Amino acid sequence: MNQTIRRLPHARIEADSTVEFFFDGRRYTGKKGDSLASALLANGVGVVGRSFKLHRPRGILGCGTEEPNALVQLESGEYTEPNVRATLIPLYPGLVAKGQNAWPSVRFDLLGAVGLCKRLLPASFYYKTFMWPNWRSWEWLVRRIAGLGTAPQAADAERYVKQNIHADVVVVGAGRSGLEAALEAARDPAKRVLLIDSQEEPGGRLLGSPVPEERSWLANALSEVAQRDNITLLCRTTVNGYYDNNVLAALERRSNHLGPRSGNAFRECFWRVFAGRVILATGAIERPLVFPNNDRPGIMLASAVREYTHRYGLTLAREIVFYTNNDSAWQVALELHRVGVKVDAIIDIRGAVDSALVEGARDAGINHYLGTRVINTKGRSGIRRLKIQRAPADGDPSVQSVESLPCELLAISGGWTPTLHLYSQSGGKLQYRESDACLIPDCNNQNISVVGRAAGEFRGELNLQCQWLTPDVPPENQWVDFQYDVTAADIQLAARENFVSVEHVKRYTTNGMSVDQGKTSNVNGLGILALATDREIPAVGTTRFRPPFHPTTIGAYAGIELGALYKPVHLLPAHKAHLTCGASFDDYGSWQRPVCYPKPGEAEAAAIAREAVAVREAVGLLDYSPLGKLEVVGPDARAFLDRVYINNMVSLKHGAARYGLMLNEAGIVIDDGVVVCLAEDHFLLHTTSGGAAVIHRHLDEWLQCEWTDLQVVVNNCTTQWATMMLSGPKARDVLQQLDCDIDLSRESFGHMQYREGHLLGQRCRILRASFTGEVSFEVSVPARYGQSLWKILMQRGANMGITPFGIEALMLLRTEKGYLHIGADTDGNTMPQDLGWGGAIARKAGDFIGSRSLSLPVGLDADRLQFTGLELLDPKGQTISGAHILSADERTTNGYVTSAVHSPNLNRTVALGIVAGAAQRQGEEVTVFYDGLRQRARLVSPCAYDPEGNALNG
Amino acid sequence: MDELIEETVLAGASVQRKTLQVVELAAFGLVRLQACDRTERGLAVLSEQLGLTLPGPGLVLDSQEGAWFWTAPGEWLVAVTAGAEEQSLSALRSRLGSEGVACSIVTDSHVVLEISGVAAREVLARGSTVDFHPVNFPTGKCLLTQFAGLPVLLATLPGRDTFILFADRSVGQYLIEWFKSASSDC
Repeated sequence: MNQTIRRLPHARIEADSTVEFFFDGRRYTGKKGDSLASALLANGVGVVGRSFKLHRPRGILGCGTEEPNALVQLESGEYTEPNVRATLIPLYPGLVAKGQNAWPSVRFDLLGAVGLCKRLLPASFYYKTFMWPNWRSWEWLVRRIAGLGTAPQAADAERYVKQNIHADVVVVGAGRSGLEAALEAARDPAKRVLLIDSQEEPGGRLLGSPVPEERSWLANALSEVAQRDNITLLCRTTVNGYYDNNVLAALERRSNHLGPRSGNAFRECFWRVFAGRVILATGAIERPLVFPNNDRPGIMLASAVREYTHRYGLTLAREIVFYTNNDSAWQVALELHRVGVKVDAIIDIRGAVDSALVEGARDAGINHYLGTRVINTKGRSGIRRLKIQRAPADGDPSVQSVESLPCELLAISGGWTPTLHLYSQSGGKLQYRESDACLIPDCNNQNISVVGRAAGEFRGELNLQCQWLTPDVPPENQWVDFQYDVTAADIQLAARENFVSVEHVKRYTTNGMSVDQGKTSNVNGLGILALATDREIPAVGTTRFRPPFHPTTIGAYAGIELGALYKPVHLLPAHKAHLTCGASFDDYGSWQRPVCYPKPGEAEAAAIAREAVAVREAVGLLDYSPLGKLEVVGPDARAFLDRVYINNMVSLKHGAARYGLMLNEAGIVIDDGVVVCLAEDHFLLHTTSGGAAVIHRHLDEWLQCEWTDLQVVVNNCTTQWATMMLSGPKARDVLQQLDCDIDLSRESFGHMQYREGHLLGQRCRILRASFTGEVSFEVSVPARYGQSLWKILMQRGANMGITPFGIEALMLLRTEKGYLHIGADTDGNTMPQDLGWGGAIARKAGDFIGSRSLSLPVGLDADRLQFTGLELLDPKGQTISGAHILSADERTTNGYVTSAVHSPNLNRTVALGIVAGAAQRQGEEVTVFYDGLRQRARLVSPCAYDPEGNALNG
Repeated sequence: MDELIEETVLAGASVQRKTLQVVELAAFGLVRLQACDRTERGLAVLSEQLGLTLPGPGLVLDSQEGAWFWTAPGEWLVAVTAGAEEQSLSALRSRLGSEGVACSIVTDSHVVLEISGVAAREVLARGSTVDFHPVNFPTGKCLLTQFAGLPVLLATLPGRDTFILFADRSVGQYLIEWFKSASSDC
């Protein structure tokens, strides 16, 4: 390429500025307003990348999102990003970029030797080679040399954000049509208009126009946009997805143009746009012509030549030739001539061209070759010569003349493809227009319209003569997809191998599967397939476009929801106090709760065992605040609860508590807990910790959808109260030290009783229930006092050996007691009869949710998995949750271990499980299998510790 | 003599940016009122008993005793002066009678954040798909919605250009961290 010493005067760059940047280790300078691509071209850099498969040298083809070749690795370390189009990177000081898919550099790539094996790498090479049993013999090699760019190794140091926005009218594309549409919509001051454009500044093709009238029109339009309060303009923003209900996804490159480390700014913003109406003004992409060796650096779309010349002021080459099949490239050539850029020739496959164009070319001194095709190009790292063939007037191929032309830049145009990716994503159908050989919008069910070039309105006839590939010359080197090295021969091969569907051909050949998703290759591929299968293009059909239109960084999808903000975390009221006590935390459901409180140097397992022993021997303190607390209130509350639980709630007395099991309508156990009667019309339900919201929804659904006649409301008051569980033989002694107006004595306040009163001057609720098997007081105070209550209990209990204990010690203690833990000891099939509740069900007079399902045949199956204890015959044996219980012939599973712990109180493993027919098999020996280890165990009662319940009632 | 000491959810933590401020509002005491009879007739009786035109969906009523936020059919959150919840509860119960309406103090289960500053609407739109444009979210509106992945009640009080966010107290710290991160460019 030619190095541009002086920019053309009408360029939209700051001619006096100097911006230093680095590409492939070399230092260059560009101008403020340049893109990386224009700056490289200004420096005469021709080779900017290597193709995916064959490592062929590639230069800049386009000037925007359509660019298939100039993919670079931007920056390094924690700021690096692969596959960034040089055409879309605004130049900033210190920019560092590297060519991809080459070693050691794109200028000199040793991996280019792969190109020598081109014949061994036809279409579907992967599918044909990577077959069992030998695909691994290729994998190591391919993994080393395949791929574009390098995935970052370090965590992304940049920050991203997501933003939602609503608008009455969303206009995508701020070219002339988009600006006109936005201004028209905004004339109604009540309408909120959002105008989105992917370029650094609005204007579209007008930015590359040398015509003063067009530049003036743009300036006026932008001035009006700025004055209108009801237009929001988003530049550097690419709409990537179009979904149902006019929801769009867009990526704003918010500070990319400033380079890395750009202060507090977010690098990118992921916009979710909710639109009343959408107007697509997304323009059109110029198509390359397909001819032998059309991929050499120096071959560029005519529209890109126009842009680089007029917008960036570049004189790209000394010998510029145009090759086209339509009128638009002629206009570009004449525009170049008008600003003083010499054009050597125009080659047109058409035998006749509009006389005005021909005369214009003649006046400009531009040679023109009508009815002529390019049949080859020459050059190593860039194009040097063209081989052209002029068709004879009488059509006799034997007398065709062949010439060779010098050429440093070949500007090509094979027609235009309206950019309808978003239209297609929105569910719109496309139709083929024969005259321009392009797809245009047909019909759509969403509130959408398409304007300008995207709608196929090219502001003048193209007078296009279709040529999908160059006939009468070998198709092997006629490139269709520049990025993935797909040739016309590859598509023809797919057709010969009986691939008919365009979707199949796309995947078989990889045409259009590259990073650019075939923006320049899809339609040419379609045309070649139509020729190869002897069909018309409408019969071939098109591939369905899917989001994203342009690659989106993973960081933008994540936004700020990373690390500590990855998901919402619920903290206990006494969280800080637990930190002070040395708690190690983990997530239990959505709650962050103490696992245990290890002492310095103490392993977690040892801490859990110590805590469990302390509860059995003295007293432990557990923050039990997440225990679900739902208040059910209303005249029909008791009747409602009697239907919700399988237990009898009719007889529950004021101040008394009762354990209950809750089923869904399929009879499956979904929750258990203690129900307390606060008043005749007021009950307190305790749900599984962390299950309060789910059970609340479950109850509300029944009230709102099924039993609308019941006068009942449910109030989730779980977090209103901080609940501390004192458990152990000295629990009462600790509590009795505090000023409390409730009689805590054994005689007045027995197990499964509930009291309300005041503790240390504040309202309190105390429940005597136990999940440890020891005397337990669940003390609740308003949550604002939770931290203070924890500290006071720890202080007052110090002389009695109070020990804070975490969830794992609680689980250990309840496993020793054989207390059921819903979700751990049950699965999605467990019914109450599997838990030994068959008798209670039979005795219950009233109906309840799930009762009918219990009597279905599946509920009566004798081989249902039933809850049981498991005692390993080897006293030193160990097992884990998930270990299988083998059938007698050891060929299938007969159940599994659901909970298993080493009991420090019994000095052996204690396990629970669900085993087929366990209720009738108590005492039977079974085999427990895990990770190749078989152990014998006996089916026993779940309760391994204090089966008489002496400790519980102490 | 032991004494229980109260602590607010955020214990003074806040977000202070040039264009956005998020602070915990400890000035509210909260009472939830739930009508067992949610029929039109039942709600009419309730309104009559209270002597108020209860706000409908999405609306806030600023009354003498506090602000009433509609939270669900037949349900309201009443924001009263902090510490006055018991008196408000008694006053409500005396007007409503003994049956058919559940009145509960829920102050402790909530964290209440006040979000102000010129960037308030923009930052809120980073956590929710709600349309925060003043045309759609004027003062005196409330909305139960999903914000930053959490169920919240968002509201604007009549005559004040700030947003009030009610959420479960257990996520107070998470929300403050969320606002810090989402507003780092403000």
